[in-house]
Amino acid sequence: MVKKIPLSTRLILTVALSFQSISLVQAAVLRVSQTDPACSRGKSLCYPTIQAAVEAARGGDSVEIEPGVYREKITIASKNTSPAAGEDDRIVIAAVTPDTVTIVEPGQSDKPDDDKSPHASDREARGLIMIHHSRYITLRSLTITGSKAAGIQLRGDQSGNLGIHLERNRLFRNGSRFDEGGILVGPGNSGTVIINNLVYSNQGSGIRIEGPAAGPSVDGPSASAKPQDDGGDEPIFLVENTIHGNGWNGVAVDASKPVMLVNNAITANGTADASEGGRVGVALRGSNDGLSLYNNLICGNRLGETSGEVFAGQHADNRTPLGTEATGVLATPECASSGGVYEAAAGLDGRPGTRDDDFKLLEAGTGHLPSPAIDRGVDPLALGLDLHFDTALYAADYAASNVRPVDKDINRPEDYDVGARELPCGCTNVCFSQCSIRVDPATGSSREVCAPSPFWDPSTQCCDSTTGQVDERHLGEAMTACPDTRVQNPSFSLCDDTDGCSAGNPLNKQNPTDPAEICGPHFRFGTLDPKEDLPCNNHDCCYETCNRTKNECDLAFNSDMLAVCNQPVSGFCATLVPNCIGWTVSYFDGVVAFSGSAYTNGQNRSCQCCLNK
Amino acid sequence: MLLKQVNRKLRAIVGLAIAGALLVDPAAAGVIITVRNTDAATGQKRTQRTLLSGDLVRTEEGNKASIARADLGKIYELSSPGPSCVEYSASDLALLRQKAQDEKRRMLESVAASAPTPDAQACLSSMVAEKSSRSFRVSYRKLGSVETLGKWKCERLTKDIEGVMVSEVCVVPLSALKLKRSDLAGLTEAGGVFGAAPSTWDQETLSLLENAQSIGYEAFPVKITVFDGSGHGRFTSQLASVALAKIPAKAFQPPTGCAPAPALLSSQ
Repeated sequence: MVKKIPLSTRLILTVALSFQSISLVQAAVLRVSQTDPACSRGKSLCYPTIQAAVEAARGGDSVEIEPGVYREKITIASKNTSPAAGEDDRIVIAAVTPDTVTIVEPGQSDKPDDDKSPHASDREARGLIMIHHSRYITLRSLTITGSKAAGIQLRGDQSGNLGIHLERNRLFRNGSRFDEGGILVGPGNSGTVIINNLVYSNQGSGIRIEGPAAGPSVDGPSASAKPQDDGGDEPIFLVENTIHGNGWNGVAVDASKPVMLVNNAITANGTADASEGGRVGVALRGSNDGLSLYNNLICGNRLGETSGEVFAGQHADNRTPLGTEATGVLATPECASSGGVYEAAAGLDGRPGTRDDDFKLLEAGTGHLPSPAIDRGVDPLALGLDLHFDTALYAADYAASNVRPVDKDINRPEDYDVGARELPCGCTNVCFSQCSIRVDPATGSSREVCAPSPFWDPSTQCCDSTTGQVDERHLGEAMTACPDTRVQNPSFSLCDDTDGCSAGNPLNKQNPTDPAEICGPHFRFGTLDPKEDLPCNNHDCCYETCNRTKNECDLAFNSDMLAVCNQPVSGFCATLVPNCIGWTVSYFDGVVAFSGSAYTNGQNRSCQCCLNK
Repeated sequence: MLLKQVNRKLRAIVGLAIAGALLVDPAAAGVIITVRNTDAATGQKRTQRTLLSGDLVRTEEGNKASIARADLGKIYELSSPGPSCVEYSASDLALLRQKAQDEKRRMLESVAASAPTPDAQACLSSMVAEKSSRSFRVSYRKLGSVETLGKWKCERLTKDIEGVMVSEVCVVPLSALKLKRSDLAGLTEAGGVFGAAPSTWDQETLSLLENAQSIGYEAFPVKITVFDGSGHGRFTSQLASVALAKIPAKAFQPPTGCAPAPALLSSQ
């Protein structure tokens, strides 16, 4: 018998299936292009402006921005507002190619030389990119400049956000005289991650984190939409940023909620005149036990490295020029000027505050130490940051993904560099790609050491440095198969296979008619015992040492023989010294002329190689 | 205790006998050169002494001594305990040198055997003939620096054989040692009769004198460092003292009953 399903049950199933079909809608990739005509019509998920794409984006979508200068203010509002929204719904707004997308305040030039209008003299209501009432938004690899207020503003309080990630952006020449600068984070905004950004030459503070009572807040007392910050005490994270040369403070914290500063380079801030609001590296207004600092480099800021009780919370391994700010702060005098930290902060054009400013770290060289930022960061895993966000975030640096850590200085225990630039190692040989830096403590000079790549076992395999192809080693034919790339066969017992001056040679044998034997060991050149330190034995050994040249072996042989002849001796045997030298001179010529095959055989026995070379 | 006293008395008697013999032994003016040799590889140190008087040479090292009598055309090898004495004539030494030449030829033939073609073997033969027909070239180069060794401030030279640097020699002028060339006549005589002076130190002395023109003065070695194939000093000989002295004639007299050269030399 077939049992009929009641109508009420069928209705419930239908509704459930409908929700299921909604949740199965695939995340979309929305393109932004100023040059593709299709985008100007808003078709095929392609848009002419970033704002248009942002408005179209739904949970889990990606907005991929093609290269260009985009003159627009962007508002990202009320995204992922569903209470069920989570990390899977993150909307990523990013340049297709890093460092190719510039967002400029409308009416401003993206070239500083063309920037004739001053920064705002009056309070602007919003940043160039403003995010409010949103959750799980990422801004990545964007250049943001020319804003009359903050470059990026996360509104707070009733307009607040949750889980905003600002990654690998370049923010310069933004701000107003009201302490708006690179990034402004309003009250709340739990779980904000600001990581691997270059924040420099902005008018106000590089990064300012406002508190509820902080003023002047740019957020209104109320907003129509529901606040999204339900993240409780989830901290705000500032990790691996380079914050340099901003007008007010490098980082200004008004918030009472937890803020973590990890591996940031906060240098040379406070460039603006006067001192209101602070001109230091890290400023804390009020008190905040939840402010914690690990492995930050805070140096060369105009009116001091810190102000307020910055180190009242947890802190470790932070560095300042004097190290006197708190117990445990490390004195690092070489960071007092930017030249001790960065190779050429002002970039190729030599002018600070321009697009090409480059915060590549100063490598060790003659007469100066390596940048104190090199290998002085902490592994964020050790701080448990992986519990809060994806480890891929801090494995990247400003320029590239998955580049940290690189061990640039074997004299320093930690591998992560401080700031947004991880100094890359220079190993370009695919077979020897594991790079580390050795610093000569005497001269301060450094050199890169390239170790075999993980996929290659040099003891049993060889590697083609052009293709990276790995092959089994071949023995016994090195001189014909790979004369230029042969290497010592590790299984060959060095110098165990010598026969002195060759088997049958009268200078080897115990021959009573041999003058060399009559005079004892004085003029003996070789024995059949390979361990004897005699010229022929050493010569055999040299021939069987992989990659020793025939010429160097022969010359050493000649000198060894002459040393035997010239050793101190007296009596009638001394009268044979001229003969001994005569033997040497002639024998050497003979060896040079006719021992080619012996050399080749010796190298073939001791060397190994790859036939694919 | 008693044994010690006996030994002491015995030594005294022997000492007196030797002193008496020296007193009655005629002595002649001469030079005594003392050198200390060091083998860097083994750390072994040995002292060698050369006594020169006229054309007579005596070398001593450990329990061995050698008397070179150019006037008789003989070298006597003495050793103790034994004592033993073996007599080598100049013709024995000539034979020995000839054997050495033969050994060289055999040695080179063994090398030539590995030559890949008859042409290559002919080339080697030609090369051997050329090398055999002349003595090897020796030259000295000044390093431009001086070294203080004990009471001597010597000039540093390098010695090349056939263009290969074999040793560094630090030298002083003969006059600095209050020596004249005639004081070293025994070495020159021995070189002429036996083919070489009877010690490597003395050979270096002769070699320096032969190259006095290029060095700029008659030089005498104070220190010789012989390099090995790795460029390190392998052997070092350093002058400990040089003294003008009366040397008893007995020092150059071979003991009676010296055995002739071994049959192995003469029979071959």
